[in-house]
Amino acid sequence: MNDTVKKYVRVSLTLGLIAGIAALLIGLTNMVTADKITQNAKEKEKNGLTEVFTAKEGTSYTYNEEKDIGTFAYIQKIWIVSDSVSDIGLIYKTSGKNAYGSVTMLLGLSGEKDLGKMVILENTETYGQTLQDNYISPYNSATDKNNAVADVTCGATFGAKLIKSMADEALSDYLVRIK
Amino acid sequence: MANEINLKREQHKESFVSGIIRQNPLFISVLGTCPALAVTKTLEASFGMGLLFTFVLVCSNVLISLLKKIIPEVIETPCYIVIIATFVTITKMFTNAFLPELYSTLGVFLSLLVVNCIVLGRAEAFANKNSVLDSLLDGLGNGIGYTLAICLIGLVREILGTGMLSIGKVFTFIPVYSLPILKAVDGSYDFSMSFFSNSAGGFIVLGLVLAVINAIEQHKKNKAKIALRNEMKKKLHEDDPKPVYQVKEAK
Amino acid sequence: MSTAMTPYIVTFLLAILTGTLADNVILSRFYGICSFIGVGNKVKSAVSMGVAVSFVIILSSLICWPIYYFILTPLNIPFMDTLTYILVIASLVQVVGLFIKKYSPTLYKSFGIYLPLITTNCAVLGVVQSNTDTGISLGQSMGANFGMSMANAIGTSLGFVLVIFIFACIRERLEDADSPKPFRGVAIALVTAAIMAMAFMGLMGIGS
Repeated sequence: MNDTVKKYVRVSLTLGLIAGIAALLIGLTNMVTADKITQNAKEKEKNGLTEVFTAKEGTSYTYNEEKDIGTFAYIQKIWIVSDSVSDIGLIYKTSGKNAYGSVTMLLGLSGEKDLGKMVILENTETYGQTLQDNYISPYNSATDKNNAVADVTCGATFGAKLIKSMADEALSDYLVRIK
Repeated sequence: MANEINLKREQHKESFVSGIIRQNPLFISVLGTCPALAVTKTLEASFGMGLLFTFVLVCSNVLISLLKKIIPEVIETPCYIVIIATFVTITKMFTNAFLPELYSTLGVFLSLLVVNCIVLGRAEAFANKNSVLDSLLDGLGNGIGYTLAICLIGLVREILGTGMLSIGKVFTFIPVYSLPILKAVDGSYDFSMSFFSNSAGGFIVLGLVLAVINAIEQHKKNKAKIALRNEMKKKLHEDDPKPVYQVKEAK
Repeated sequence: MSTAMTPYIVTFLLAILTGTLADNVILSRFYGICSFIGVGNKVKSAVSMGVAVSFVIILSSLICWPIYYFILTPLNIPFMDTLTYILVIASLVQVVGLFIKKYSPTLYKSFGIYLPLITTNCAVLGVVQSNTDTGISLGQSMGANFGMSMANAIGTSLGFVLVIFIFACIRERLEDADSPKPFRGVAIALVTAAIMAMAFMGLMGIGS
């Protein structure tokens, strides 16, 4: 009886010791890195924002994030871009997934309903490079972007349908806003 | 006394060197192949994976070797898993904070280091029987061997698949530089085969590299066998009388 | 059932189909390679291992998704996911083993040594982790709602069993074939897997 009790006590003490060491190490690391992680995400967003609407030499744009935008299927954040005189347009951060992975991107909208540049923030699809090479790059260099978003040059491009749904949702929200 | 120190030094050297070439964890005992196929699309990503793998292996080996007398046998495996998972979580958090591009490229495979056959295998076979210094050197040797192995596969796949060797895309503190080999930067010639960047290409490159290494090993063994056979033949016929030739006179 | 449910059911079934064929867990996403190469050439034991792994994948996704969204996220400790998942998987494998041993000893014997080995199978932890991973830009994960994570799990299991079965059958024939000497063993198996992966690559693009 004494032996089994001793064995159980020893096992629980060892487990407790290891759990304690684990919690200590992870807690210390969390204290060191948590701020840096949120800062990295914000910096990546900011670099993407300046890439969508690039300010000309000598001027600078301000990007104001809108709070309380409601719930959407894909849209996560909306920014209003303005220079010192007037509003230039809106930037939508959308994120969606299909069966191959998930795509997060920034899409710019301006004017009546003119689609702007698409900047991919993160693409975890299995064949993600084909999306960049066959869809995003030709789209960004096309002059008529409103037709380019519906015109997929390579029939089996992964994520083309997903990006079109995200662009459609952003466009319908934009049309409601500028009314 | 000097003999003992020499023996210990030999043992340390042995545990470090054997992990690099002779007992390479990927090529000789085919373990840990999940990351070897998935993250080796570019050379930089495989180098980053090898570095993080070495860190996790060394830390877990050292901690398990420190605690080897305290852990009772019944709960050995869960304890090892908890220790390894702790170090993997720490690695994930540090990578997320300081090398976010590497974190995004590696994806889920950073978390899969917890169930990597090599890390668990070294913990159960080596670290719970040997001293701390031996475990550290063994972890370092195996890590370096694994890094070299997946860098080789990454090199082949990147050159054949994209045509250029680029650095600076994952480790963003290095300026981006691409060395054009099969594909020019401005697109004037393009001999790259994107088949090797896909999943099937990974399987074929690993299979061919393993076949080449098998052939080299077989060749070395054959040479050693032939040399040994010649030695034994010479020894066998050492004491034979030398043949004497007599010329018969023509009639 | 009303027609309002049809799009959800269609999405669910399409996700399962994609996970099985187009984005296969072994040949395309590279999750279960260690067990895939070591499967040997006995078809019966390979299929038993495949079925055991599928069982564990479905059960652990069932348990781990709620743990992430209802326990870890409200407490603001999402980084503890790896540790929690691996502990859940290890205990689940033990419980499933005891259960099978009690109710069907023949099945337990046919699993043999594979049952404890399922804990270290990359496919299980890989699927469970990818269901809740949000990446550095905090986008959507693969299992954004419970239905999608279950579709992911079921598609993965079916794909796993299918590919393991085909591969074991092929390897049985490869044993007696006259492959070149350096290729015998693992190398020719990997080249065969490459040809299988090429065949499955032809089914790409189903569920995009």
